[in-house]
Amino acid sequence: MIDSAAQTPTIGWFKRFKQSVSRSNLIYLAIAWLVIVLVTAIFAHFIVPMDYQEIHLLNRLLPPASVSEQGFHLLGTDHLGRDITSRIIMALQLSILVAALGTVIGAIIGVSIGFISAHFGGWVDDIVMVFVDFQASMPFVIIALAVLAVTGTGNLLLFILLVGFQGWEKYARITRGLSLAALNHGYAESVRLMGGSTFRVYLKHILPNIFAALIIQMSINFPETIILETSLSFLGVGIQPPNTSLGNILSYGRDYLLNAWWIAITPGAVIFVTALSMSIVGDWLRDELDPVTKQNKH
Amino acid sequence: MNARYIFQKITRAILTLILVVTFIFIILRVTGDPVVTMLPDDTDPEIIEQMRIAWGLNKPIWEQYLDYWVGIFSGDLGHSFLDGRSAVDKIVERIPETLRLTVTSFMFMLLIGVPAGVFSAIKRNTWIDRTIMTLSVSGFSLPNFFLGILLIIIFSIWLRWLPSAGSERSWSLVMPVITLATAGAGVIARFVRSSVLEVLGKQYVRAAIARGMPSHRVILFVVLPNAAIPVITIVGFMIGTLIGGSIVTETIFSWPGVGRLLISSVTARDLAVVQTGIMMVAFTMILANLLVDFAYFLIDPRIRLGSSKGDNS
Repeated sequence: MIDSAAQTPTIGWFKRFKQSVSRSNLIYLAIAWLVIVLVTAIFAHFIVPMDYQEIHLLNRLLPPASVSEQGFHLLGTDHLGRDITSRIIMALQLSILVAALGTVIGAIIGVSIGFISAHFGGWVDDIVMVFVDFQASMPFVIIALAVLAVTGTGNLLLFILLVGFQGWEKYARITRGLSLAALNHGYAESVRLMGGSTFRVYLKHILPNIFAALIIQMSINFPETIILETSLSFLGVGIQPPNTSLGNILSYGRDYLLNAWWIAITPGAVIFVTALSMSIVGDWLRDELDPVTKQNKH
Repeated sequence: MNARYIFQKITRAILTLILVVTFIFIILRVTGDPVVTMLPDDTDPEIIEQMRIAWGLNKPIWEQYLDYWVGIFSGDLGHSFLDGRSAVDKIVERIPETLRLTVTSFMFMLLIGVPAGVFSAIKRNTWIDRTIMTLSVSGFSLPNFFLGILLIIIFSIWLRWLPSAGSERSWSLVMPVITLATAGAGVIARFVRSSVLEVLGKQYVRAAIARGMPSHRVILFVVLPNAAIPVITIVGFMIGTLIGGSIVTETIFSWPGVGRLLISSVTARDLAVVQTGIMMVAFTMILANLLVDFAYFLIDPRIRLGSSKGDNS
């Protein structure tokens, strides 16, 4: 009998590499990761192995996979002896919550402004577009810093609202452009002629038609919001203790790079993989939902 | 010549400038009395009143607004309450270090992003294209604070090749520049790719190939100049990204630039320095956008000659 292994053609590492970079594989991995993140974030309180705020100074800076009297520390402990696994799970919950709320807030603000701009036109439209252009060119971090300098840090609701504003101008631009196109199409006009109110025209007829474009924009906005929130938290002006964000953990991990580098690595890797997965899913969504790219796919 | 285009762009820049200054003024004055915010709660009301007179906060709001404009034109934007120095001086002395970091990163970003994007477009749907695009998406999903820390762990702590902080030596630039440029290079590569792909589908490119023009000449002299126009737009946006990113990068590498000053001023609520810094960033961005508009004007004959949207696709 012939050895079966000899019959299968041996694929070189190079060819295997070429095959594995095809996007179909990545999209499954990305979706799987996002599901894990979402489940962890939703059920954080049930999954978390121990109290994430409990301080044990005797167990400071334990390396990953060590055991103390509190239990098993998969990712070690931080400078106050708190379990990093638990902290990351709780931080993930808050970071995802902020990013999700932030994305929705940005979409609502942007879409409303876009509708107003398209509906009134004229000088209203001009003024809105000046704001949109300015926002598009101004780094949002700078505006966030200006607001945080005045309001102070530590107000979680205000912070979520602030982070939410990021990207409003992109929603506004998309909504305005597509609404103008929709208004020209005639179906909006016919609803109005049949006696539909302005609100009805925009919310029931135009909104569903531009929904695909908004979903795509949300998938782009979501990772940007995660990175904005974690950056601000990393800089110490975002989420404040006792709450914790992935950016906070990374920030204090930075002080222990010499003797406990793993503290900074894990939260950073979680942010990176989550943002990357969302971008990959976003790309895929764009190809699937956007009728223009679907027709002449490059 | 299309003078109207230039006039329109300059008007818009001035309008935006007025908007920004007004916006900053409103944020700083209307959201609360800066003296009350800054001083401890148990300060003597008389001292608060003295401070308000010294800062001109007892005047009517429109007079304060005018004073504000006078201050901007005379380069006086208040003093830091930490050391009493002029806020403008404190920012200006740090600009050279920030420029050194951002300009180097900008060049690095273009040097990597543009060729990668062009190459990816030419080799589209091959493994080369997919690898470059995967790297590009990874690049802009990688938060720069994490990239910076990874670099420090690898090159400063494990290999001990590069300094983790400061800006004194020339190789101090290496890690901050990689940290700052990677995301932008990824964005540019992606954008260049799609804009080159779009041009490749045009009839004039097929015509050039049909005339027997060698392919490298088609790319260099036909495709790239036409693909440059949308790329300039994204390059304009990248300046903003660089300024935003420099704040994080300077913090990670203890780089003595404007970004780090801005963060410490926000934390200390040193409002004079914060507003000066933000205003300077805004002015830079307005100027950069104006330059981008002029670049269109120089590159795109359709704008220069003022013809209506002619598109020979």
